[in-house]
Amino acid sequence: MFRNYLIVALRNIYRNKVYSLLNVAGLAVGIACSIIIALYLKNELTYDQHHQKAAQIYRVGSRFDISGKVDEIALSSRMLGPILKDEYEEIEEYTRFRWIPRILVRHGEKRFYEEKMLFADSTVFDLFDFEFLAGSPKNSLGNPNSIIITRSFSQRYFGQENPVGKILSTDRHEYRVRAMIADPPANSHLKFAALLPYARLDQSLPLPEDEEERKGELWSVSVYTYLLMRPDFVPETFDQISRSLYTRHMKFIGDQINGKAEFTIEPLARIHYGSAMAYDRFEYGNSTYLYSFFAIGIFILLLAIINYMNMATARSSSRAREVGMRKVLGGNRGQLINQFLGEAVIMSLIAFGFALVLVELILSLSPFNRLIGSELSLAPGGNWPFLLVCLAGAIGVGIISGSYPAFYLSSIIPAKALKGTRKSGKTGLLVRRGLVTFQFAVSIGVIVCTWLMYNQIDYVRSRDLGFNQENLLLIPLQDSTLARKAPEIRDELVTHEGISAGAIASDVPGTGISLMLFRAEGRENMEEHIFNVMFVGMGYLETMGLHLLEGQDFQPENQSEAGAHFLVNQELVRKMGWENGLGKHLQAQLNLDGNAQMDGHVQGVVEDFNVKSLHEGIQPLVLVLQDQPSGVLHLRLSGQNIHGTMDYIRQKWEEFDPDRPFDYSFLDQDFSELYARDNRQSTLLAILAFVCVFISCLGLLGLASYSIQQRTREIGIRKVLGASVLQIVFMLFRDFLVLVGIAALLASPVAWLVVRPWIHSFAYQAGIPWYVFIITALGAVLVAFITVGFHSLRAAQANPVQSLKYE
Amino acid sequence: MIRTENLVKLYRTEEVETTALAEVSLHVAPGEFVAIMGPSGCGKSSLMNIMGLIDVPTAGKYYFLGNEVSALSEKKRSELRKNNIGFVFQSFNLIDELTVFENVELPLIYTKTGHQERRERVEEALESLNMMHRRNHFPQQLSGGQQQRVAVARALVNRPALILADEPTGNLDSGHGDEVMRQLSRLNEAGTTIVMVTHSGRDAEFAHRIIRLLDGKVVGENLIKPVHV
Repeated sequence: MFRNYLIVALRNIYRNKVYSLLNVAGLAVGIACSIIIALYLKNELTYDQHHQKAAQIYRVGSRFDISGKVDEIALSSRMLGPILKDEYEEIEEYTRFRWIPRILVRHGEKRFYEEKMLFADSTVFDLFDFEFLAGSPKNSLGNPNSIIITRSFSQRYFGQENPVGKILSTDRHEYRVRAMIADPPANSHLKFAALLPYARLDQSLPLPEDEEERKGELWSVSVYTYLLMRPDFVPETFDQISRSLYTRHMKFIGDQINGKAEFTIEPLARIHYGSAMAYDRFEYGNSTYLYSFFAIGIFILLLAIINYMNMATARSSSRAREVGMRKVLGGNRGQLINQFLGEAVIMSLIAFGFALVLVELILSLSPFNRLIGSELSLAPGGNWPFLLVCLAGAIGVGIISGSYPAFYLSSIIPAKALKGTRKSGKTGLLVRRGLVTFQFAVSIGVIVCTWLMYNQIDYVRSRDLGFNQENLLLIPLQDSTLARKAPEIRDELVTHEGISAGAIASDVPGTGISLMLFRAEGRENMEEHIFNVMFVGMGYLETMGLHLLEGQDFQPENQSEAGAHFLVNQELVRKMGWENGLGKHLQAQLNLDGNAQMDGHVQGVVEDFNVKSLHEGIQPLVLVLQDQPSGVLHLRLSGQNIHGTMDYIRQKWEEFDPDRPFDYSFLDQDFSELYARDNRQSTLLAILAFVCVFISCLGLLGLASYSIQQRTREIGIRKVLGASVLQIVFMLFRDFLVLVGIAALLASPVAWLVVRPWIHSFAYQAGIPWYVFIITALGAVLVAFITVGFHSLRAAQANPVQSLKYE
Repeated sequence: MIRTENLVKLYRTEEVETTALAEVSLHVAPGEFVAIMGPSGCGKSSLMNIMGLIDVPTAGKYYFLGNEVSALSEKKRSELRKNNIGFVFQSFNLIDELTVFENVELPLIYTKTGHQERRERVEEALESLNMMHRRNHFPQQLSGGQQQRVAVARALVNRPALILADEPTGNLDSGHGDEVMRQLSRLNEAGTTIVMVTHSGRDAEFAHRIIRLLDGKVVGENLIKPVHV
């Protein structure tokens, strides 16, 4: 029996090449997309689970409440890990990470600026598993002069040589390579190029001798602390630990500064899609995109399934005789259902084969991986279980897509089918039209969502940041010697006609701004608040193109009392409820005795400008005059002859700092990096939206060709009665126009409901323009017309004598 | 073999009710060759469908092999059908995707006949209709007469007690038509009961008896020749 089904199925596929091709193409593209999405989701959902002790590892976050302003940050104090391990038996081990700012590393002639280096405790390998390619974990970070490097880092400096024992140097120290490890896998939130021993940091920044002061350090956050808990640890009990630690070591300061602190833990596996706390410089994911991809994956599969259902049932008239005969010869309905399900499964398995090839081609030959910033691969190495799940999924797709046709076809009444009097039923037609409407509704919905997301991202990107980000050159000042000389070279450089202004500042907008505890003049007395703070040199406002709304900019005579002059932004004035910010009292860098190292008054209010990604809104900001120049030299280029100006700057800089390669960037490029992830994700969404449309068109094509075939006689009669080709084409298209119209009406409100919350998650919202819905609907009508038009035209141009003979 | 009592078949659409059979009572004895004649729309095919257990009557009784079967479930009707009845249609109703051999084999697959026996019986049936040389051809590669011979081979391969033929020569020229009728006669002589619907007086002459239908009623019977069982 099975052989008979198989023969009929394969011969049917062979005989109806066009429809088989449409079916297999739809299913293959649908399955291929779903496999890619599944690979993507697998990668995203298994973040950090490759560490054997993953279930016991937690990252500690800090929650500070200072005068009612709450901050939750991913950083914690460098004292926290040691105290927790000493005092609480639940904690087996801890390790701390701290990012090393961009640093020049040398080996012989080879010099590279490194951005992804971390300080790590020597216990890092007690918690995390990394593959050692050379050297061993034992004591590899015990010595302050050790360094552990990843393979890609090693290749930059040592090529294919074994790096162990070789020396790498920075401006201040030399490090001996103790081990080489594999690069952390793509689904690891801890991505770094090299590890330096935390002990090195303790040498340069020793802990205070005084115990009180040491405890004071608990209020100062600088590291990421990871804890290895005992296997029987119950996460809910960490609250008690946090409270007890606070009471014993932090409360006495908290009471003085009207603050409170608590610590929270996040399981390792949930960090990537966790609460995305502030100051998390490790890679974290956006669950909105994750859900979107999952939904679109399901939708695409659904569209492909619907295609199959549609075409299989539309072809019922050509299968009716077979069904009738099989029933007459004794086949029962169950057997027929099995037969048609089997055919769908065969079709789906053929499509699965093509899908695997398609996936491999897309992932290995196309720029897809680069486009979405991933390393997805179908390489069967460790992927067999995944492939088996996909195979089971393909069989499932076959069964689902075959189900409706199987029940529909097996219900055919043989007496009618064999007489040839059977017509496609109204119910069948309605269902098919419903399915195509659904397909178009999904496509329109996905396109509208993608368009609105693009629109939002574009809005954010092109929004006025409140300062001029064009032609702003940034040159990091690598060390304090260099920084001290920086005002000199700045003064020299700005004399060049291509450079209009220059200033030094501690931070660059968009690359991470510091927070600081301030005491600010309140209604009755001084209030504690945490504000963003930037330490800037003279000429900063002019260089950045910032507008001073009232008061005056920093003056040269302020330089001698640098910590006593502040500029604030409008938001801070608003937040404090000040009618006029000028002259308001501000204090910062508070000592335990209550005195402040920075104490002065607001001398100017600056128009609001963005210092962070536009995902976040404007926040209160204090600009403090730097006492010592450090950070980054900002140069405003005039925009004319940029190449010549750059050559001039490079030449001057190399004279100024001959030991290091000239390192620079442009602010607008740095800023657009902030949206790189958004860009990648929306590109993927756009590709998927296109696939939705493609599959829906295949469905429409199938439905149209059958619908036209069924109406061949009607077309002939109409032509005989005088209808023109155009009238017939429009008559045939009218039905589909209605379907696409209904689809647009159904999809638009749903898309609106889906996208609205996402757009509202941005601090700056582009709104939801109505024309997106109209243009998408019109586009869908156009695509439908092109799809149906060809068939309609051919039918309309056919000789009516032929069409009438057809019946 | 077959006995009907007051068979009624109504077809209802939303607005119209059509009477296809109005209290038809008849009987067919084992070994008999009966032709049913009448103009288009007189209810011949409806009667055949009910006799072939592929449709059920609206009212009345139908006895097949001595049992009342009009109210049987589809499953039981299917069992009875596949074991006892062979069908020959005007439009042949061969499955285009199957070869001649596979088309003839199909009834045996549904009766779960073993592989070896299946092959033997298909070959025997094709031999008897002189179609062995076409066993690997597809229906579209055959002439109408050849297709109908394959359909007859399919009808007899299961050795049914009854063959129902619905206008078996309707789509054939007279030469091919006579050939098919001779095959049916031979089968009848070998003991198979045959009920045939036809417009053709020439074909009807191959039968023992002619039942005439008009507007869903039996309006007459002609005995042509005695039955030899």
